[in-house]
Amino acid sequence: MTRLVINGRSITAQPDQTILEAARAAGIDDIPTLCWYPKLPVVGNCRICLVSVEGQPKLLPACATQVADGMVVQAESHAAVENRRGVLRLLLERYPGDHLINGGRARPRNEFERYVVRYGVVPTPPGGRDLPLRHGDERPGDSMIRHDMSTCVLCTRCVRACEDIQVVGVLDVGQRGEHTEIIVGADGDPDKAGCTWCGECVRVCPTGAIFEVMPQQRFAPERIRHPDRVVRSVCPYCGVGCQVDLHVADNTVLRVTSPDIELDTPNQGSTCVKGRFGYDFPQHRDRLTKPLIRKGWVKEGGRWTWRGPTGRERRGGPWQTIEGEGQNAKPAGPPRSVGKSLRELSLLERLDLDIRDRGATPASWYEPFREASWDEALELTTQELLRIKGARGGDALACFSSAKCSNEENYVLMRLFRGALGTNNIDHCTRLCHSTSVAAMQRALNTSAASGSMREVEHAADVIFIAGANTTESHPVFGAAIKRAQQRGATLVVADPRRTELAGRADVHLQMQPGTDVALFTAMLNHIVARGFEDKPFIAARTTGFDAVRQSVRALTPEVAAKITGVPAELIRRAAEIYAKGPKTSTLWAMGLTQHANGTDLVASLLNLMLACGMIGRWGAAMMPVRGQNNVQGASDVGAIPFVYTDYRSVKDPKIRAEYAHVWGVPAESLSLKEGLMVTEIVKHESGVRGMYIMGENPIISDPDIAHAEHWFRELEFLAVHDLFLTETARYADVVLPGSSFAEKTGTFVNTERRIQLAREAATPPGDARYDLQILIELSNRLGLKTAHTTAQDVMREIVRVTPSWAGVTYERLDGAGLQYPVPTAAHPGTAFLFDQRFPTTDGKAIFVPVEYGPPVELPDDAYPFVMNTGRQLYHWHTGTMTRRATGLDQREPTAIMEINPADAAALGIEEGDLARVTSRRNSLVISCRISDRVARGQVFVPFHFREAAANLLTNPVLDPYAKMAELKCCAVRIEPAAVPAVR
Amino acid sequence: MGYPHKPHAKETKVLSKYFGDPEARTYKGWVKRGGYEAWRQAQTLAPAAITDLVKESGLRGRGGAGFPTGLKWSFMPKDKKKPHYLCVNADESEPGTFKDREIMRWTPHALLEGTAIAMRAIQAEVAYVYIRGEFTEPYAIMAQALAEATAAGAFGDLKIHLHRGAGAYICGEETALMNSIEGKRGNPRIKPPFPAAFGVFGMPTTINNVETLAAVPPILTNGPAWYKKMSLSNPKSTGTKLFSVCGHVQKPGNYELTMGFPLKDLLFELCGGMRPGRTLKACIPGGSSVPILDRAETEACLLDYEGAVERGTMLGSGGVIVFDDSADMVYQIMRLARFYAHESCAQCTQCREGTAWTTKILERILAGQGKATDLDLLLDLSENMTGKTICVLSDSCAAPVVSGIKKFRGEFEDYIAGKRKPVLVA
Repeated sequence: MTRLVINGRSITAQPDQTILEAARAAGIDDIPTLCWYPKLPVVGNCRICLVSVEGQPKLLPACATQVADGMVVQAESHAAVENRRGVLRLLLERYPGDHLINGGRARPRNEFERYVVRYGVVPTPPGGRDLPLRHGDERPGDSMIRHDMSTCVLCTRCVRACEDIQVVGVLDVGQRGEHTEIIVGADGDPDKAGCTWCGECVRVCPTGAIFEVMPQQRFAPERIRHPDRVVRSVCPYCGVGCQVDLHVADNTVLRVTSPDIELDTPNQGSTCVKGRFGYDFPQHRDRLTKPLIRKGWVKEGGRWTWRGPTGRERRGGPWQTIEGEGQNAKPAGPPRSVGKSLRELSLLERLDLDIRDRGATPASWYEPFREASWDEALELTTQELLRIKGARGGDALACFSSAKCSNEENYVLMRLFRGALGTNNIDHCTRLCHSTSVAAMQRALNTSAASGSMREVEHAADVIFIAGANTTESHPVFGAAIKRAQQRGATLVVADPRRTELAGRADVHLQMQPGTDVALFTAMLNHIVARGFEDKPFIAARTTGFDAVRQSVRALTPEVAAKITGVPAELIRRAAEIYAKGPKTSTLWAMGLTQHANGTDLVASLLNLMLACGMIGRWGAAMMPVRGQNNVQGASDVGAIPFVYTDYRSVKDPKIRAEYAHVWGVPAESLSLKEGLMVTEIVKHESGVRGMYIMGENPIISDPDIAHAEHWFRELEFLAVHDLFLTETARYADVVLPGSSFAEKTGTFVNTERRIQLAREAATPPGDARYDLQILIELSNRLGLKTAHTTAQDVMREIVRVTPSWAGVTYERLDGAGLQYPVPTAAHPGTAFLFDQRFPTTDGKAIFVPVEYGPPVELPDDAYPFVMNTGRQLYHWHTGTMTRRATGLDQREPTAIMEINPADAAALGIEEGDLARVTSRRNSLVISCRISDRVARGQVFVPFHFREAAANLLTNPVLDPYAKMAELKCCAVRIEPAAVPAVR
Repeated sequence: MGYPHKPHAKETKVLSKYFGDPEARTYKGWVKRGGYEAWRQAQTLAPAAITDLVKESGLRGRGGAGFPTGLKWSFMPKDKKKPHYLCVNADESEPGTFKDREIMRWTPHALLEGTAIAMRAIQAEVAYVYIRGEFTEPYAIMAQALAEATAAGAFGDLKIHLHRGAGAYICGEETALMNSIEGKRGNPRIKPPFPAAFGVFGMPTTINNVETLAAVPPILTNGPAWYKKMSLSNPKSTGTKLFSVCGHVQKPGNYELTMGFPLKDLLFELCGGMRPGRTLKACIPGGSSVPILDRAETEACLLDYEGAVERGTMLGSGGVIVFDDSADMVYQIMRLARFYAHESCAQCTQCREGTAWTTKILERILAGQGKATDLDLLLDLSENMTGKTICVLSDSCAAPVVSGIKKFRGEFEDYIAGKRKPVLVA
């Protein structure tokens, strides 16, 4: 410890702290800073924090000077204060600060102006300024971020945030001397510079020179500066689980900011473009504000009866099927005016057309419905669910719960279906996500979640091995952390058929043929075993069954694998050695591994590699299946899957069943002991399911064979859809229940690192739309399962009673960064990483499962020569229900595109933007092409967000034998140039 | 004029001995003149022994700061754990300074030899010679010399790279130079950490000026005592130094003088004095960044580190800028300020805004639109710009303004009062 005196106060500090850090830690907050920002590299260029240090001839920068024993600091010495005034005076000479003329009565608008007022610096009167206002790149026409560089004070926080936090490097300092300005790339075009619109620059700007467009278009500046309230919530998109602050005015989220960087949230102050700019979908004009009932349902003599058409027409409408809808694209947004100054733009362009007015839900979709009261809608739903249960048994009913909804909502829906309807047919999109990971992890480790934390990957891992995860687009905040880890010195090895951003940055990129991962990982293990690099003590002490795996990998040498995967044997060896030598290797994977018909085997082979090298159970050696949805982990944890109750406790065990029956107040026999059906099994004729309740899912876009799915949903006896919008699925519903968005609810969410976080209600649902939990509780009561809860907190109290690993969770404890479960007791601090001593298997040892390589189900041939891969884009989320209604995001990617290799495009005569027809053995669609060398030759990539070119029309519905995952990542297609339609 | 001029009897030719002798540029020619003998000797010495010799000689940095060279070398970690680098600062951009250019033009091998010796002393395996971008001829000669010496195997495993600047004065600042070599914007870095701990690519680095390194081989061959003896005034300033004289003298050019030589003799004997009918008015003795001397101070100044400080200025790079009585000091100071405003890297607030504002005010005064308060404003700004920034560029801009107003206040006041015809258009 170092002792020093600041402003006459004796304090102690860590020897490596700076004067500024030591002062702030001791509560001395009045050293002003402009260029300094938590976690940004210190550049010390604003010179406002200079302080007097005894014995030093010059003033020293508090932000960059390390403390020393016996140091005597005067932060408020005459010289220091005069210097601050001088700095502010100089900056103010080029700042539009006329409103600050009246000194003390001035209302400062930002961090910089607060200092101006605090130090009593008066700007030169208007007209008398010696220096011109500053300028810089302005991003005119940008739908999300604009610059007004006249207010820039060149602190360069934005430049460092872009370069060092997001590791993108779009912003830079251009020119020199008085002409210095912040530039966007080389020519002012953020697109060319690789901007990801994360808004990190907006966050750190101390003067608002870099600002968000959308709030400015909708609210007065005064309103933006002084919102009604600021509410801490959790981002509704990916599994990173960023905490966000929702600024609310007029019952509307006006902007999103991220919590202070010092708070220990998973995002540490960052967000990605979706989190910061994708918040306005709840206000979209498509938003449902009243329950809808399909015309044809009439109430006769106290009962609802169907009087509408029957047969195929029963669920028809003026729309076409997804398959037939091919080219009903939304109209394009207004063009961006790159290269023009903001002042040169016409007023219309400056304001931007509100592209939310592009009809995401066509007007005709509403035609078959009529608005109804809640009583009507819930009565009809209750009647039909009970009728089908009575007529055909509970197993004729099924529900899709939602990974977008809170733990409490998922729990109540699960409880309702199990307790009131007596079926375990409850599943959600985890089936199309990490179900294969769960299957493989259950077999090997008897666990269902990540072993470690994101921050150990960022701070402690020596090697980061990423398989089939496009982290910078799908989990951008975590992706940035990985890039920071690489800058810190970690080695990055990426196995991906596409050259994603991380693959491009990786030390080793294993660009294998899609679906050949087993061969790749097995060959890596083969090489490790051949060289004796495996972790023998770990294998001996912590695992069983390695000998079988040692035998099974013997044949697959790197040379053999090179033929299968297309990755040179030398590269496989190098990757294997890097992986095995660690010393701390973190293993990450996502949909690239799991969405295969042999996904369980793929993950199992990766787990074998991980266990053989002992890369689990130490800080820095994390096993991380990177979760997709913001609550896919939590929805599974609270039992919204067909085999288990909360905490993965089997539905087949009568003892466990009795426990739940007791808590729910139902007879034990009313709960089914039979495991339910999974998503991909439910949507099949042989499932026997005749009635469904779907909460917040859109299977008609996300099902692996949507032409079939659409047909199946049309045949249902009853379908209730609970959603924000009239989705592609909802248009086949009998009843549509308008629910609440992420901003309109309180509830908990679990992120990819098992962190339970609390989101708080920021606004009330619009119109007659109701809280999701309220809908579910009322439905539960109507169905005869008494539910006394009224708030999410009540529900959580019940969840923790039946969930041993959450036993210590309370809403009070979730304030701040949340808790990483297991939290077995009220005093337990949560668990950052697991398995340092034993695995949760019966003997405490991990189990090796030998895996044989099998080729992908569908290989390219002469008729279908391309391999199609599907996945996500940075700007869109899954079926686009939310993001295609978020102004900024939709403007970035308004239409469906397919990525194709330049060589293939040239061979086919396809140019950028041309339409192409993509045909698989199942179906065909037309899509425009983006020429990109991110995809290898012979492969194409189609995102699955777009109903007008729904990728899952083409995908192969063959299922994984264990987890019933479909082969979404790999199918053979044919590509032909398509004629441009005459009228679009 | 012509260059090189004929040697003057009062010069001490060590570095400039072969200026004007094209054969000395070649490897063979240099060896014939006793070149690479010092390097041969150095290879037989332990690194610490070389450093000690240089320490003993009293050699001080010739780039401007005058820091003892041997001491600087001794800051490098003895127990080498990381790669060590040597940077050679050949980014000579200081207005009024043109000595390094001549060393590179005429005796490139002297620099290369000194570089190799320094590399051995600091245990560096790689050296970067950062040559000012505008120096096309010196670069070509250096490249040729390096190729010849490398072909002859003169440096063994040592790697010397020539790196060309792109036209920024600030890249002559040592840490900005390192950033520039790394491919980054040439912004000076905050010190500490100093280069010996965290230099180019974050590795221990020593950076020396061209003239400093060129002086090392003669020190080794002739011994430190010989070098130390060359001192006319203060024993802390030893050896010879090149002085680049420009401005209103009859014979401008580079003159190599023993430390402690009177400035008056340099101007009036070696340089032939003022033009006919003109008298000395002022002089900037150490490149544009140091305070201006008036006539009396100039005539009393001795040319060594301490002598310059005694007169309220600094020896700096040894670029002597001379003004006779025809010079408009306000205009000259505005030109200097404009230079610094143009070259500010713009990191620090005081420098970025202060240099620009200072220039603006001086331009206004010269345009006949000065205000009565302008001189106070200038002094206030200069106060704000002195000692508060990461590097000394802003101090350099303030120095001539402050000393100029102090010593030639009347000229400023004449412009402001409208007694003098404006020379600039507003």
